[in-house]
Amino acid sequence: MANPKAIIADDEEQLRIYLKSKLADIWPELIICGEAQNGLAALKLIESCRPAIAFLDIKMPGLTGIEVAQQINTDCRVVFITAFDQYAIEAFENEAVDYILKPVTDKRLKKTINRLKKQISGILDPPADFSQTMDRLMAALNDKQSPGYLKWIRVRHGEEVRLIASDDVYYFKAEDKYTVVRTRAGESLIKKSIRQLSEELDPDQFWRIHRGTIISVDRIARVSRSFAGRLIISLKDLPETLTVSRSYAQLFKHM
Amino acid sequence: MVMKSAKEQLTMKAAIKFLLYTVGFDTLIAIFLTGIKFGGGFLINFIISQCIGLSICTCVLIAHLFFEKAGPLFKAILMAAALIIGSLGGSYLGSVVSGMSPDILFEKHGLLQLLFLGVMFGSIITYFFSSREQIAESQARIQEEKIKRLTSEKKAAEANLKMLQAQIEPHFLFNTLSNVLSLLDTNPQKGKSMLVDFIQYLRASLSKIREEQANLGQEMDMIRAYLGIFKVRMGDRLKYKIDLPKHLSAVSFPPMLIQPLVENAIKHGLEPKVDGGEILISGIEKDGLLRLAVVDSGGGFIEGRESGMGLSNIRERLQSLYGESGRLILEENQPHGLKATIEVPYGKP
Repeated sequence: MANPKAIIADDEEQLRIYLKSKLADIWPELIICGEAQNGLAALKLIESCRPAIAFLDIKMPGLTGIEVAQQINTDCRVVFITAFDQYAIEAFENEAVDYILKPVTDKRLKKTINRLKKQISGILDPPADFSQTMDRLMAALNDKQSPGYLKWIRVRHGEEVRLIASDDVYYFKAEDKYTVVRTRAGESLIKKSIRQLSEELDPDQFWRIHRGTIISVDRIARVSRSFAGRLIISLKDLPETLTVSRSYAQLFKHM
Repeated sequence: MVMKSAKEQLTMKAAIKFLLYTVGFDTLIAIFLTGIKFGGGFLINFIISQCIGLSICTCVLIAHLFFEKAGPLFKAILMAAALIIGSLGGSYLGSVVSGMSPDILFEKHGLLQLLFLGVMFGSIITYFFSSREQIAESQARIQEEKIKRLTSEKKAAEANLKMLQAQIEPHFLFNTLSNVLSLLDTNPQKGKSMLVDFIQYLRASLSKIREEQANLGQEMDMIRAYLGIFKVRMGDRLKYKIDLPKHLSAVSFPPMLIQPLVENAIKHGLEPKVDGGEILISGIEKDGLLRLAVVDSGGGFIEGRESGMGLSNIRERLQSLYGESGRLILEENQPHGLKATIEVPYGKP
């Protein structure tokens, strides 16, 4: 049997050098047929040199190690490399995927290599349906790293684009085609609609009180009922008041 | 309550409360007047004082409702007018309701006496409620202040804790150690200098003493050590420049406010880019403001990028240290990347 081939992909040169030297010590027959410093290069390399094993760092520019693994369509076993990523490690354990931790220790590397050798020589069955495993892995990780709520709002002032922290906003109010963003410093216009904002903002902090108004709950000084029976919101530090429309009045019912 | 400032709204609930109190107070007046044998019997006194009281009350409420935006002087005049009209109208109404001819009432006690009584009781009740309301309001204000203080203390404590955790980010720790370990075999000299940078970074970020007496020079030294580590790790993919005028080095400045911006620029700006990029850190002082900017030529602002704790933590710390005068400004850098600027009053700790 010909000597097995492998590639190493890591964006940090030193770490590639180190892993290569460790592999040379522990598994001298293994041929490193190429090194890549980003995910895209790794994928190309896998296609061109068809290695039996790919050592893939998870955090790489271009494509992550997991994204690379997902797109592999040759018969190639993947070993992930990670410095520290609790979620990823949990997911690897769950899916019984090979991984090594940085800094790479001899003991751990030997254990992984023994497993790989058995898989290559057919003693140990390779993991069934690799691409499905990768899909599940991706799903598990995406779950943990949801992008969260809108924290910064892009505002254009002439040529400049500034970012207003959502924590600084008192309220958003629809005005013609635009939405007014009110902070203590003043008003800015954005194109994002109230509807869109209400989907992206943290619903615990921002309440829609009107078809065209979203208010930051932290900024409410008090809510009172006018003679006409409307709920009127007074704001902290700002003189203006906002009206709650009837369809949203139930938000304040328990108050 | 009736004396409330113009921007506050008179609510339905408060108006009803005011009316009810007035009815109660009028009853007391009727009992008092009967007690000193003033006017007719209790029933007549009761009817007349209710009429006077409620009509004063109505006039005051109407005045309040229609002239909400009036200035304090105009308001006082309005209030006096409301008291006079209310007491005269009420006396007239009271005498009609109680079956007494208004002429007899006015003849018996005289216009001035009635007016005097009405205005006096009206003033008492108005004053009574406005001071009650003021007490309640100031108590509410004290309570609000207390909540505000506790909240900001809690936020400051949380921000400090997060800062501590962020300093020793495990990913950074292990990656750096891996590099050092690897360099010990291949390039011990480089490994040694990386370890020195790492030690300096750790010492600076973990030292408790620094928290009270840090200056900009020290913060920049630490950032230099931090970027030195990344220079080894990223090689040609990272270029950086620190541009701080000499006289600003000694300016005292809270530690770990700029460093997270540099960390963000690396982590979210340059590291995800295949070709990497450049980081420029600068400090200027102008018009009583100190501006510290971290500019990267990386991927720029991507929604979701900011979801990390770093930025909101800086904002919270700026808020607790400088109040409204400490700001974190984020702008898109041209042609790409992000510019983060910390702006604080110059010369203050």
